[in-house]
Amino acid sequence: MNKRLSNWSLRTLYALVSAGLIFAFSLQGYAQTAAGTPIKNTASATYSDGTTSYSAVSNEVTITVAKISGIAITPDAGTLSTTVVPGQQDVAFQFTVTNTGNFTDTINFLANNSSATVTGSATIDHIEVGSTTIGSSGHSASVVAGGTLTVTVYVDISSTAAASSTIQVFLGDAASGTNFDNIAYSAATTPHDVYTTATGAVNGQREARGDLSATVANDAIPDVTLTGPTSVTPGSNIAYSATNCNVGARDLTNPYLVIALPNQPSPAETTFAGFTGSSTGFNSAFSYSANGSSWTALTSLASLPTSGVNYIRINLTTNPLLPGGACETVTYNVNVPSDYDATNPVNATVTLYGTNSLGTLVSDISGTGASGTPTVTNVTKIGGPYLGPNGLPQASGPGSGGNTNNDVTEKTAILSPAVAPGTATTSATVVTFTNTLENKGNATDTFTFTAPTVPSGSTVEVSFNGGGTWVTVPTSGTTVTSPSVAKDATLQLQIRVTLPTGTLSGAAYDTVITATSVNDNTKSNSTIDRILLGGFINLNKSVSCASSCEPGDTVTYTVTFTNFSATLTASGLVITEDGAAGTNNWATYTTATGTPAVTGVSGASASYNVGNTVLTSSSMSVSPGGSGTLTFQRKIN
Amino acid sequence: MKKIINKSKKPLLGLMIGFLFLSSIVVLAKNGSRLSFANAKPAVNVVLEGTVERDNAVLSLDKTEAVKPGEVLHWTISSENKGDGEAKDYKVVGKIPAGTEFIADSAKPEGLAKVTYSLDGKNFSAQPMIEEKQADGSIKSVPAPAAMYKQVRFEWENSLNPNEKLNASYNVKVK
Repeated sequence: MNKRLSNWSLRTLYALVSAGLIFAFSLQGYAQTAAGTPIKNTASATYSDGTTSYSAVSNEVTITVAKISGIAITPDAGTLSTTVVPGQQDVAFQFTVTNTGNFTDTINFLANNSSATVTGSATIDHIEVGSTTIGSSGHSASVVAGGTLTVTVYVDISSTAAASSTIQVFLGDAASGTNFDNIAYSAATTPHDVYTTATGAVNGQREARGDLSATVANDAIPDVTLTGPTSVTPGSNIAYSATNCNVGARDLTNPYLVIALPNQPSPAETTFAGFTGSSTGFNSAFSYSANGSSWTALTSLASLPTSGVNYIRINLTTNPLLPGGACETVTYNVNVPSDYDATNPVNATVTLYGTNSLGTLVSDISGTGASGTPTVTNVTKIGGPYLGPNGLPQASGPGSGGNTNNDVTEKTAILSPAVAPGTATTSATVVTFTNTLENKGNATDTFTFTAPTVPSGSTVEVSFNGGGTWVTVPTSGTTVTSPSVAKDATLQLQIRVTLPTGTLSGAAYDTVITATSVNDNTKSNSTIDRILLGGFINLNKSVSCASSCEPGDTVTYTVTFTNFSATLTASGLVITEDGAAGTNNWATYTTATGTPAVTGVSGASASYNVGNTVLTSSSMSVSPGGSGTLTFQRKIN
Repeated sequence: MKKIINKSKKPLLGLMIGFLFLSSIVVLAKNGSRLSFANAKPAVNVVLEGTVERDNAVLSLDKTEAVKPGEVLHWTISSENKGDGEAKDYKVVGKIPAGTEFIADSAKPEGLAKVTYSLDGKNFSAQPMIEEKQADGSIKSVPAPAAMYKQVRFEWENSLNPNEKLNASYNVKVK
């Protein structure tokens, strides 16, 4: 008999035995000997006397394994594999509770959430042992030696939890021991125990503790910045750039941008003028809305309606998600019409929307604060004053050379008694004009007033409140400013001119008033307030004789009448020659001859009274600038 | 015919017995340094004792009610040859009882003895090996951990002579 195994057979045997031993070892390495197990041992011996083999066996020694309680909770100083975010609900912190004793024991959990504690901005929602939620009666579970329980502590993260802060969950409250496991059970004043309940073990009841942490990370956080120019010329585009970022740590899902168009009431609306630059592709895939909630999709910018468009919406290119730390810029134009009221700037905002990891729709409006702050673009203000006669601010002056700067308001200052033209007045003459200012600029404006031309020695004042208060109008400068006048509105004002004593009658005295836009001091307009001192008809009388003006000669008297107003018609003009009035004596020393005649006024005539001593013209109407003559002849007696 | 014991033959018988005795001595002298009779037989008595270390004291298992997992049991095998012949090739085998595991390097024989271990109770080796599967799937032969030992064997070089005693001890830990 071959007592030796071949090498191959030996190796095979080793392999088979080892495989089994490896398996057995891996099992026996974690299991204690069950309580009550008898440990039996005998020894044996073999020997020979050289011829005969002998054997011997010892006595058997038996000892029993005692009952030992044990409990371990893992992990210790563990960390969740993922971060948590503020507001996250039911975050599972999973522990393994092991019966490390050598007999079947009962593991006890306190009522509700008492067996666990949490530090950081979070609260415990509930605890499940397996799939059973621990209720008000607590929970007990029988566990075989070496057996385990899966215990999950469900935690709600506060919505105000700070990024990078730590949420730490403790299951059990053992404060000592290796890995805080398997120490003598002690119910503390504020217990958070997880412990064994069997009392027959040689080491009594045991308790343990495990802990697991999670780091708070920011969820997706949208952040949008809108930039645009500080000013824009009416009738041109504002070029906007919206930078859309996710400054959180998690993806922002389905991000989209909503552009709120800064509109004013029609027709002076701003209008969307399309996506530009690298964003041009959006012009074929965007939506518009009147109210920001109902959207109409368009595939062409040309199809955008001309009214009812208050919001534009576009999905970002990075859709379906914008990763944490990523940004995308969207550029677009908004048109400002030429008739846009530039009183207020164009205020624009955009809002970036998206869904965070909790499925919540989150958003950010451009600017600062929860309500955002607008991106402001000032529309260049263009002045447009018109100053003219009352109710006629855009009037032009008379004649072919008339324009809006030489329009004129004429008022007569009657002298009583009437004096001949060229007679100096014996007191100051005050005349008040009413003018109208109109703002045809593109914004609410105020206007400075000057009087670049004034009658010699006169004072010029203005009142903007119907004569309540007066201020002197300077010849230049910006010291007199009107109240604010809205775009397309008018302002009535009074101009009071005081001619000094000694002003010669029978002449026109002009005061030029100029209104200049404060928004745009390159724009001004003037009007002329004209005083017709002593009326506006001048009479000049001349006489001529055929020869030496001797008795029997014919004397021709010519009365020339002139309307020196530029705008007023003298109607009902009657010229009367009374041969005996005042110092006149031709009624006594002359006799009527020939036929009185009137020229310059169509259809006018003159006739004597019965005694031929008073000559009276017919009622005449003399147009501005018009003149004529009344001639009559008398023979010298 | 009556046998007559010649008294003169008694001294001859004594001489023969003496011769045999001396021959035995010579045989013994050839076989070893000790004297033995050719018909001497060994008879070894083996006694097993166990103790446990507890609270800085050593307690006999006979006086202990129970042992706890993790406690160290100290086994002592005492052998005594109560026969009149040498116990040659003397070997003692101690078991690693179920519920315990051998503590490495704890086997202590008295005298010169070879210590071997067995994983299966049949094959003994100073360093039992097992096949271990590597990460790459290959099989590598590695030393078996002491916790896998099932038996420990002591083999003495010298015989256990009559009236001689030998001890061997080893430790196990209660699992």
